Amino acid sequence: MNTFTILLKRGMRNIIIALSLLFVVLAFSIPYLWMIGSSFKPRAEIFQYIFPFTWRTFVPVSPTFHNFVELFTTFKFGSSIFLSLYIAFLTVVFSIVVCSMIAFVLAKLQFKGRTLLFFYILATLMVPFEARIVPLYLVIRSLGVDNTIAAIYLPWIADAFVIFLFRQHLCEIPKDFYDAGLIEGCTHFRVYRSLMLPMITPAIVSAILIKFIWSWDSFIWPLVVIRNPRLQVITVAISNLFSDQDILWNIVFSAAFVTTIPVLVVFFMLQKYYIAGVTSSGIKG
Amino acid sequence: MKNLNCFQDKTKRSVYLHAIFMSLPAFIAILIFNYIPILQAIRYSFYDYNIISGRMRWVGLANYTDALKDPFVLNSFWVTVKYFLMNVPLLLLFGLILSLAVEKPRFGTGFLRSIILLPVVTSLVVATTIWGFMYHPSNGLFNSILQTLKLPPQGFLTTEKLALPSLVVLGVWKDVGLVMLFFLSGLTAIPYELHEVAMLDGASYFKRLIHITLPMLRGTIIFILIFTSIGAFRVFTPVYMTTKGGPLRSTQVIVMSIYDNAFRYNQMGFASAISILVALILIGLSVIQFLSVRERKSKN
Repeated sequence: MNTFTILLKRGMRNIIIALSLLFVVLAFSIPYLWMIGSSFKPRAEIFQYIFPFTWRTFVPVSPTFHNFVELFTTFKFGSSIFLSLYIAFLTVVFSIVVCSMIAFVLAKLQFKGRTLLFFYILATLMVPFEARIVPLYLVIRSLGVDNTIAAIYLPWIADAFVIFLFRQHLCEIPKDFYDAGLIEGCTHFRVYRSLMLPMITPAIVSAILIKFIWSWDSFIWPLVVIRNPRLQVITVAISNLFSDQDILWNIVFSAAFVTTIPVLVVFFMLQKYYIAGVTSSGIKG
Repeated sequence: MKNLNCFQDKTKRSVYLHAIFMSLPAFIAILIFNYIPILQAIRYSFYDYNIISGRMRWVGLANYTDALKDPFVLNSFWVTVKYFLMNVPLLLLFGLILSLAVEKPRFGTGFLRSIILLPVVTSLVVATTIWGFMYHPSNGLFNSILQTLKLPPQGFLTTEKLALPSLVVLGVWKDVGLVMLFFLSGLTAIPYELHEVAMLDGASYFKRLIHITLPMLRGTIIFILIFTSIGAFRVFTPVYMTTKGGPLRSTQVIVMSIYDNAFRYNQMGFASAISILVALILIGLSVIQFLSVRERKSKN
């Protein structure tokens, strides 16, 4: 009897654990499954199978690519994707170069004022972007670059998070490498460029990934700073489709699909770099 | 920099030249996009500044006193605090539970971890879009589930009572993976010997959780607490996209008020004053965060 009750208890426990894990998986995947399924459904079918709640709510009965065709032709979503890609590319390239240089200065060069420079950067983490939107917008306007692509990416190039990520990794490289480079006759810049940068490749991959996803996902700033409807990044384009008077559900779903799935695929492949980057400094966005 | 030869390069002068030139781009960018806006915000907060008409009139502290008397602004502070009070404990609780569930590599934990992280890398706009549809009163997934369970349908985003909690659920779903990651990195720092010793003494899982894991996670928990608190004060996108602050201002969070005042009513001075108030709260939180991170680092 004893073994039986123990087994029963264990069985019950396992069932409860399995059920709660199933719930977790469903809670995190159902929104995606619904999005994926609905983006391949003709418009009427989405509403037809909402009630009752069955597999037909998720799986298209008569799958179609029409939504995507319409998205790219009628709604010109392709130009938004191109714009967002272009901006993400510029953000990543500029910020990696700019941030890794100052990180090298902070990590390896000995000079008066280094601590001051460190706190100069650290202090920027204190006032988040949301409290700076209004004056930042006015600064961009006074620079005369509002309504341009530059306005979208310029404020995000120097990023304290990326600087500290690089600095941390550069600090872990033994000083001997740096000295050896100088003895070999390299300039400081060459030590940075040819010796140090290749050694922190994992941190660079992390930064590229985080910065890319961050730029691809950014919404508030492009919303505020761009009034020109031809310079709509994907997030703003989706938000506009979503807040239309009569929402075209199928179009919005397919737009969400096109925006999300490529990022998720890249994320799945490079997950460990993302996790390493986010947890090593414990700061994001 | 190229014409500097190698000999000079080892001199002090070269170190300074490199320090200056290599940090200059970031230095200037930070100056223009971080420091100048903050200084400008402080300046504008003392003016009545309408960006359309270009009117700029010194009003002293009036923007601040108005903001602290304005029922709408006070309401938005209160709404943000309510969001914070719901969001932060839920994130901590579920983040901890999920991190404990995927902590030890077992069958399927890798998959579970990835799937919990999906919302973290999904754009908030897309997340809001899908959840907005799921909350839809007549065609939403949730009301479909409720109907299947023979329960009455709800106006998730359209009733005063449910709108803010619905946005909290969306926020928790989006961010819980990140909190889980922070907990996981905290958990790996706990030496396994502690658990072994406790297990030899016959301590159950929950006993060990309360007497070993949680006390050892103290630094991590403080860090997450501050991190999520700052996040709660920054919430904007889901509100802007779904309720725009309604119904009856029940979801009018503070950033929404800043946005409305600045970009809908063109009251840049007033919006700057609210921004400064928010910044002061967040600076306070960041200082605590900085101190707690330092404490955590010095412990390790």
